[in-house]
Amino acid sequence: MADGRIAVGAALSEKLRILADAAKYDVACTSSGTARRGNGSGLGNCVAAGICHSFSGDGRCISLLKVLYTNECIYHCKYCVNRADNDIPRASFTPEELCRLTMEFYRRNYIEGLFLSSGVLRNPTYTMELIFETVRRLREDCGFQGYIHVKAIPGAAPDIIERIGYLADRMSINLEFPTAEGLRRLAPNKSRALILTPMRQIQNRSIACREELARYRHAPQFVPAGQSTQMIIGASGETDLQIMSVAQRLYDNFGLKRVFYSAYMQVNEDRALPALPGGPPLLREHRLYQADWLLRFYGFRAEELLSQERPDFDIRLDPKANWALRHLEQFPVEVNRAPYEMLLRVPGIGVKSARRIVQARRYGAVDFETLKRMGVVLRRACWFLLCRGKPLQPLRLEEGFLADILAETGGRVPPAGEERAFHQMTLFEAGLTLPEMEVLYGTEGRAVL
Amino acid sequence: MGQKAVLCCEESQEGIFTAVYDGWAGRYGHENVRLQVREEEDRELFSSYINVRTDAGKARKVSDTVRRRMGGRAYLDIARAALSWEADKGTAIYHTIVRGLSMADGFRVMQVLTDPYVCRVSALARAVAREADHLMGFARFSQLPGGVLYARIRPRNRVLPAIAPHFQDRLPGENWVIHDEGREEAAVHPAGGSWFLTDMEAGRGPDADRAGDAEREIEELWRGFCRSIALQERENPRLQAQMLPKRFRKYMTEF
Repeated sequence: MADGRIAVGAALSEKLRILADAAKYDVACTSSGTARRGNGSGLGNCVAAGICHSFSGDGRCISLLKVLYTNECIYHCKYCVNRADNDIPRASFTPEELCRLTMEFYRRNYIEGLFLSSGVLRNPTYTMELIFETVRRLREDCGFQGYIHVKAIPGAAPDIIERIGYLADRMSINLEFPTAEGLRRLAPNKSRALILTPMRQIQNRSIACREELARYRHAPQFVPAGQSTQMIIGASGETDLQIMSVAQRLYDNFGLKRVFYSAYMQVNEDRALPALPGGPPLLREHRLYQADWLLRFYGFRAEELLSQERPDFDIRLDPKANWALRHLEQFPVEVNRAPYEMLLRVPGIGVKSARRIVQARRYGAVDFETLKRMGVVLRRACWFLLCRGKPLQPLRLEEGFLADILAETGGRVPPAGEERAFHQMTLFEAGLTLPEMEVLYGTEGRAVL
Repeated sequence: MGQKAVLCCEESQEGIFTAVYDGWAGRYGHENVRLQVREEEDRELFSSYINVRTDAGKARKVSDTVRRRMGGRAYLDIARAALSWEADKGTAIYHTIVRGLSMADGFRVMQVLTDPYVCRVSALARAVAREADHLMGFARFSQLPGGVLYARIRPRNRVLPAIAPHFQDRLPGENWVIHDEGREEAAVHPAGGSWFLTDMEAGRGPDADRAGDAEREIEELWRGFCRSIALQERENPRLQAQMLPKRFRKYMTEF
């Protein structure tokens, strides 16, 4: 490890290259969830929907300066590029350097703020102290009002997590794997309990803080944008049902704002890890994000979407179409009478268009032409709808027929080589990890979380 | 059915609102009224063309009425639609206001999406808001000698009035200029003060190439970051182009 270590005083550009590269596997780059007006003297504000400042070559949003504080890590997580026994260049920032980068990038409108994660230097608490000092300087000495997301390290002292929570907008603790067994096997220095304890701490402190805020308007805010987590999929042999059930429990019981899914990427050779000849499972990741959207905004439950008998999604279909095809007895739906909740379950109708339909039909019957103008994806929705008792064309409510129509590939599973092209085409249609998508879908659905 | 009336007005909100006032006062019959916000080559036969002289007082009356009878939300949508680059915005706004004022509860006018004009105003407003959102993220300042932050943009819609308040809130202590080169106007913000719009010819703005070595160093750090953060295994230029259309990139540091 010492061999690869970059000398103290190495050029800032070299450190930035190493520590951004080391952070790139982290999914979330969203800057949403906080609305904060500028204070008229410092630098910065926050926009509730978040702002995307750029998109990297992989099409992911760049919203925050996403870096590790250090990649000098004592842990041996098998899947992680920064594990202690990997021979890679190592570097650490100083608080001054990170403040300078954040302030200069922010002034030029490159970023919304800072996303600071880290490898474990000495021990979790020591590392979190360094992160605290960075964030404290940014807020207090530099007067920075922009967005700050801090990744908490499992095992750090509760006191340091609490102090950081009063400075950060969002905190997250990686769940790493959907099953406790996978975690034990692939991240030997971490355990489920070690991860859930600080998650619970942040949740409880947030609730207490909201109560204080209701009483005293100027009570300090604790993690106002809430907490999120992420898990790697496709590395530990878990089913989609296991993944969605875990996500649902996190939303229900831990009050998480977002759960992110990250297709496993092979960066280390290790017998404990699967080989992925077809590349990372991007299409599966995409389906999980779509299903996550159904949990959060469409009133679906994990056990409606999947079952012990069918624990995985049919990867050809989006999860909503999957559900609809297994519940054809509930269709067709009359647009002018169906309740909002049922409109939401029609393939091709989203939250915005369902809301528009409910509003518009008070002033007159809605027809297919109007639906189109409202943004309903008619080529999908028309197979499930009636307008004033009439379908757009004769309906055929048969599973096989509709599956061919709704499969975004035109009814065939994309061969491995084509998966990516296909992924590119449809990525935009579904809910993803981007603030941009939150702008499109609106924020109201999130209030229930 | 009466003769068609084409009201030719300036394309600003003030111009359109004046035309709304004149169109109303002219008693042409609402179904006959069309607003033309730009010169058109072919004139329709059997239509009378009326030149509207922008009048701040008339426009004020219309905007007060819209706010009072249709509410702040509808007003915001209409004001945004007026920033659109689309030529039919005037007509859509005219008929949306007519619709709103004909309703018992005008506050609900923007929900009447079965009305094609209301639907159009709503679509135009969304397009303007979307481009403004884009530029809140994609605009890039570079620091000129003397410390002024200068950004160049070339949006389809006239987004400066929509984005300047955001940057004023965000960068209150900075002197900054955002220059819409296509429209040859700029939003200027003096440190600690309030932003204002001013004419600025393309190519006559501050010379961004004069930025010094310190500025080049920061830009290079940013470009390096953008390269490092991308996952090669997931390279996807089509998705990138979908999320960040190429027309914005000309003015962005990292491209």
